[in-house]
Amino acid sequence: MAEMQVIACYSNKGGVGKTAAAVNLALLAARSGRRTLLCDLDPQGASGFYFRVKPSEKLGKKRFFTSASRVSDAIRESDFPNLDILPANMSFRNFDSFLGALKNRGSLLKKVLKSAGRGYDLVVLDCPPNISILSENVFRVADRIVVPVVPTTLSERTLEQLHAFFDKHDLSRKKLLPFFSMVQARKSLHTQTILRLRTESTRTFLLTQIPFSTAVERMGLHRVPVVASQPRSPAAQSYVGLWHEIERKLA
Amino acid sequence: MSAASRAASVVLTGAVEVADLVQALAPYSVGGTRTHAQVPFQLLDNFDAAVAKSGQALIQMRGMLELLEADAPPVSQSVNVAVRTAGELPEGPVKARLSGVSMLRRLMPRAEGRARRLKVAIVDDERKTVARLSLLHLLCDDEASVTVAAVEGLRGYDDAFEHLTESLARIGGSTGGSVVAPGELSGILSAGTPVYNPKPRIEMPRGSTSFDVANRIVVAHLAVARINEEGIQRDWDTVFLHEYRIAFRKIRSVVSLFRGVYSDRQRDALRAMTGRLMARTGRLRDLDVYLLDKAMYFDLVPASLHEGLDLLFARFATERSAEQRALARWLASTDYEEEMQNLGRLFTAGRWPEPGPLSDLPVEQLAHDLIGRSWRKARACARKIDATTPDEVIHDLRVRCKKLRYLLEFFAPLIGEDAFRPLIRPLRRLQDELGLFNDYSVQIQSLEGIVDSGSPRRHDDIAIARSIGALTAVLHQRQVAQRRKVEGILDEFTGPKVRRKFERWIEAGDG
Repeated sequence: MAEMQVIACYSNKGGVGKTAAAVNLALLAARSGRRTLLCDLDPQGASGFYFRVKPSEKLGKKRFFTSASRVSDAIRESDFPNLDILPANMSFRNFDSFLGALKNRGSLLKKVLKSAGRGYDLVVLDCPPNISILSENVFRVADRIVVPVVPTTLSERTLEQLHAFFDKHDLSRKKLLPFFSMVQARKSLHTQTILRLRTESTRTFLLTQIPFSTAVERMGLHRVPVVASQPRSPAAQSYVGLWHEIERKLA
Repeated sequence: MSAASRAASVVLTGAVEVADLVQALAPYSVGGTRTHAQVPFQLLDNFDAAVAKSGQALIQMRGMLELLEADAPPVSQSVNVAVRTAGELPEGPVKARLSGVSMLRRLMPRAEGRARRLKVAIVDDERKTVARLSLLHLLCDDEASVTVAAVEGLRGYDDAFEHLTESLARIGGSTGGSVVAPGELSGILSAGTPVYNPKPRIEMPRGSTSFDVANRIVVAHLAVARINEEGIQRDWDTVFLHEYRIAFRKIRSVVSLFRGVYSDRQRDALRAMTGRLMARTGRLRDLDVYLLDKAMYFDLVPASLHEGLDLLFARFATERSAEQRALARWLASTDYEEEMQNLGRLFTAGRWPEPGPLSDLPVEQLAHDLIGRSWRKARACARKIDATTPDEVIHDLRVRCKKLRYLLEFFAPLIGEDAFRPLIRPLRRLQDELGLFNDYSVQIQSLEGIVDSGSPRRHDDIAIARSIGALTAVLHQRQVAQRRKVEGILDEFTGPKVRRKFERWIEAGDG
């Protein structure tokens, strides 16, 4: 049996389309025939919400992540074939102690994912928008890290910070797959930034760009990923393209 | 998806609709519903309802076989060939779970009609699917119907799954339907079709005469023979002929063993009549047995000798088809019908057979006498067998055991379930080994006969003779080993424990 692969969706900033990407990519992965688990590590817990999955009461306890079976019990099947969800519902306080526990136990995350992830071909991690011990562990565990970047000068800086972090902690930059997110083609700032970043940088952005879309914005209303609710929309089509690029990198 | 998916099904009488379930589903509600097109269905079972008897129901719909059982999720497998016997089914989950069913018997439609499936998503207050429900309506032309309600759980929603399965099981009253076990489907959907029983239970109330009981046994087994006629004619499977012959064998047993119950003249006439009827079936049965054992024969000799076996079995197959057709014609003939009518009429009120001197003997006494004598003869024969005893004595023992077995089975109602089982078990074990020993002897003899009748000049006959030569050598070795096995288990049969059991029952009849 092929080994389980891990994709992390990460950004140091909120509101850049990270969760929307995680949710749609997970569904596309499931549709490609991979048994997929979407793990919501973000205490704001949006990815489960998009699948109408209520977090179970088992979550939120201090020692939650230390028990592989507790994690396993909290997994819920989505309405879509091949896709399961591990919803998040951790209070900030628990999250801190969780981080503390991680610091002492090195790659606990890897161990937990391996056992909870048994039977899955792909795990998609929706990460919290910060740089922390958890993030560092995610970076180590993930095969690929998908990074949505809104094409403004501020985003450029956060990407630099991420690279610096990687270098400092001896993490391979090759794992990083940045892509342009919430792109508004009418804004010259966006198009110029994109052009400059694509030509100047040593880092390679994915070719597919995700346009800003009200359909994506309103995912929270319908609580269905846009690739399912509006498959012919430009946003959905671009997620499909994004998934295909990522899929090739996974092979 | 996932390892934690659970499934359960419950069968309800009547056609239960989604609307009927709404209350039972609370606090959950119905999400999307999909109705599939109506397709024809058949409920399959053996002639002797073995599937239903093992608590299962087998449904065929548009190239799919679905097997229902109590306390286990339904399983299905696709079939793209006509379903014949369970043994011939392609490997799959359904075949694996058809445990209590003969591999030789044809799976035939016991009921048919239209099937309609509804698939319903069961959702929570946020319209998240927590379980999937499928309602399969099976409707027969005569309005008999059942609903198979299957719940499929989703990982992480165990509470919903449990709640739903409990609710469905309790549904009964509210919809007018009630929960039934899968084994009962056959009875509900094919109401009115009698169930075949190859071992009819004969009534033997206190004070019955031996004459009465003998007549009842014959009549019951004539009926069994008659019921099997269609299966032989239509060649549904080989068991029909086998049970037809067993029925006649039992009739002949009664006639011979119940000495003095019928007059000698009557006994001889009955033996002649039944002998004639049996003789018509012998060759076909021999050929069926050869063909059923085909794989075993091929396994016994090296591949270099398979050519001869191929030729031999091709001949068997051709001859078998001809014999089956001939027998079918005979069974359809007016001559046959006349013979069976004559036989049947002899056992009707006013025409009874000619009684013998012991006809008025109370049946309990006859039973004790006959079983006592038969048991002692079998035991005496068994006790004198050792490594030096000629094979004929082993064959003798087999015949005596068979007689004892028939007597025990005939008189089972008098013996009672509790006493019957400990008597039949050691006997059956011994008979199995004796039977195998006999099979080898018969096979060797029969195969040698084929060689003898062949020509030393024809290529085919030479190839066949070569293969048979190798076969008989192997069979002989097996027979020798089997003989030793028989010798080894005689001690149990002749030992004090079994003796006590028999004597206890036999003596209970004295005085």
